[in-house]
Amino acid sequence: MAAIDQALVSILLNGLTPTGAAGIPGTAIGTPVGTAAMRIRLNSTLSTAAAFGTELTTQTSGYTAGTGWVMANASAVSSAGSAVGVPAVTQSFVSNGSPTNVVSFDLTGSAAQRGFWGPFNGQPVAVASGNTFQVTGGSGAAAGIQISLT
Amino acid sequence: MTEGLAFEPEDEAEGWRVLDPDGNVIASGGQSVTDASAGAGEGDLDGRY
Repeated sequence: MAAIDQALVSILLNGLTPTGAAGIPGTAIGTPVGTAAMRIRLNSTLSTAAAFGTELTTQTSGYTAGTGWVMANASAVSSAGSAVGVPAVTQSFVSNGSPTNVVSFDLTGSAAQRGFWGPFNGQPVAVASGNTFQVTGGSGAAAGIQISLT
Repeated sequence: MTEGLAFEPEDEAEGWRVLDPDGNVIASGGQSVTDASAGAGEGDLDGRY
């Protein structure tokens, strides 16, 4: 079984997640996910290894379809293989749904380049109209979404 | 498991929350996805395994 060196893990993670200034990706492996701030796309169906889930529609506030949540702040860089936490700052939206169901997310480049994705624990998360859905922001392990390579 | 990709579990972390208009937490869960494959690694509504 092949394995991966932990230093290389960090190089790859830092190039594919918003660890650069103002939420842009690192550049150590080129720019496969663009050179502008990365985004979190929220979906009402499961993403898969091959395709996005169905994106949420634009909500009352805090989420615009086609834009998603823009990562305006840098995540703490991976070091010695550690996970990268996103978002760096808490993100939220106010639902206009009846309810809005949140199922999965994609961490994408600014031009919707796909990268890491996953279902939300407990999905579908039903967010009634007027209620707020929030993903915890923070540095490293404090962030609500932990992205790693193993 | 999808080879080489994983989302690490955060045992105590509260990854997401739903708040009512008064700011009260009415639901929460850990974003504790351990496998990038669809549906795998999901815990219960409290975000635990």
